Formats: sequence, C-alpha cells, structure tokens
Amino acid sequence: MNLTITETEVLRYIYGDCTPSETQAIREELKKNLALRSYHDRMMETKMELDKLEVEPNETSVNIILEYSASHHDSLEHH
Amino acid sequence: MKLTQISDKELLQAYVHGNEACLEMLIKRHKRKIFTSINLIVNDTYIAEDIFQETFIKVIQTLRSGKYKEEDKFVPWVMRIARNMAIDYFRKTKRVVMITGEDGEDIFSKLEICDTNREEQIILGQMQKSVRTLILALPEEQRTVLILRQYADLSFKEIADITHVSINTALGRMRYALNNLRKMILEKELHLQ
Repeated sequence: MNLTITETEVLRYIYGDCTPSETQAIREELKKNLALRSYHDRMMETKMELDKLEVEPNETSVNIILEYSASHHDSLEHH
Repeated sequence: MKLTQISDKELLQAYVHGNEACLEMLIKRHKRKIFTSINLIVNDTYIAEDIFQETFIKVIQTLRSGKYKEEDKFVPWVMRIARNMAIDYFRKTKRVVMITGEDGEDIFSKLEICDTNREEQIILGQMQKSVRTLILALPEEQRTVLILRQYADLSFKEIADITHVSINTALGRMRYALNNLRKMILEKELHLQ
C-alpha cells in the first residue's frame, strides 16, 4: 500500500486506530525510521503515564443504576 | 453463551427485552473508561459519581422508550450523553465547587485512601493528581480529544463526529495535547516510565 507515514499515523497506530495493512506498513517504517521510532517511544511513555489515571465509580453508583433499572422495569415495559 | 462473550449490541437487545443482567454486564465492561472520562471533564469525583448515575438513568430511559438508534455504538452514545450532562452541570452551577479539608486538599480523594499500603497509595494519589492537573491545564479543545480518545476509548472518527470537526483536526488536537502534556510532565519532573 502507498501510505505516507508521519507522526499522525504513528499516533493512530499507538491508539489502535489503523487498519491491519496500515499497521503493517507503520511497523515496517518504525523499524527503519529512527526519528519516527523516537516519536513513537516518547508518545508511548506519555500514554502509559496517562493510563495510570483510570478510576472506577463507587460500587454504590452502579447499584443505584441497577436498582433503578429493576424497579422501573414493569412501568417502562409497556411504552 | 456467557455474557462476557456477547457483543454490546446483543447485550443491548437482550436488555431491552427484559434481561437485567445484560445492563450489569455493559456497565461492568465500560464503567472504568466512562467514569474516568466524566471525572476528568468535571474534575470532581463526587459530582462525577452523580453524572455517571444520571447518564445511565438516561440510557435506561432511552432504551426502554425505544428511542435508541441501533446504528449508534454503545460507548460513543453513552459518552455523548455524559458530555451533555457535564455541560448542563457547568451551565447550572457556572463554577466548580471543590470541598476541601483544613489543608486545602480535596476531601474526597482522601476518603478513597485505604489503610493498607497507605504510603504507596498516597504517592500514587499525588502523582495522579499532578497528571490530572496537567490535563486540566490543556486548552479545552485538546483536553476534550485527549479524554475521549485516551479514556473513553472512542476512535478519532467517533471523536470527530461528537465534536463536529474533521478527523484531521481531531488528530491534530490529540498530537498537540500529548506533546504539551509531555513537555509539562518533564518540566514538573514527574515520573515517566
């Protein structure tokens, strides 16, 4: 395929936004293009730092939602 | 077939037909990414919990009323509702209320700390808070794309649709957001793996 690989494509690759053929082309380019490889590594490092911020809602919030759903089951079923 | 192996679309259909366990599975599958996104948008864990609940109540009402369009993917649809709820919240309050302790720290972040591995959790909590602060310092357009891609796990196409810009613009904003964040992290000498 004829894909010009820039930092934007590398970003899409890091976030799993590429087609299989694009992924293959980017991997090949990363093997030989040191500047892009360096960009890839820097952005991966930043992404990993951001991954640590993930949090879960309190279990009570989830239970409130499930209770609402169960208690409104009959009344909303007839809509 | 186990619920864990069923697609979002099939879970939604089964839920609409009365299978309550399917809603629980959908929430279990996506709660982390949806809640983290809301939390970063409103910057307050307590309010984020409220918006998370309100968002799913709206989801339930829409599903039960038959107004859900099946062509919409579940997470982008929920995130669209959550984002609108957050915008409504800002419109109503016109400011973010922070409840703080005597030392000025957010009281709710302290309540989350357990006794076990306390020191480790405090350090992790401080680092998370620092990175969170840096995200909040980004220009709004960059911050929105970053949250929707990094935490809500939407594709750049889905982000472009939600924010009414082209994919290239969404990608450009994400590039700037990551570059700016990296610069700020290095300037603040926060740990990078």
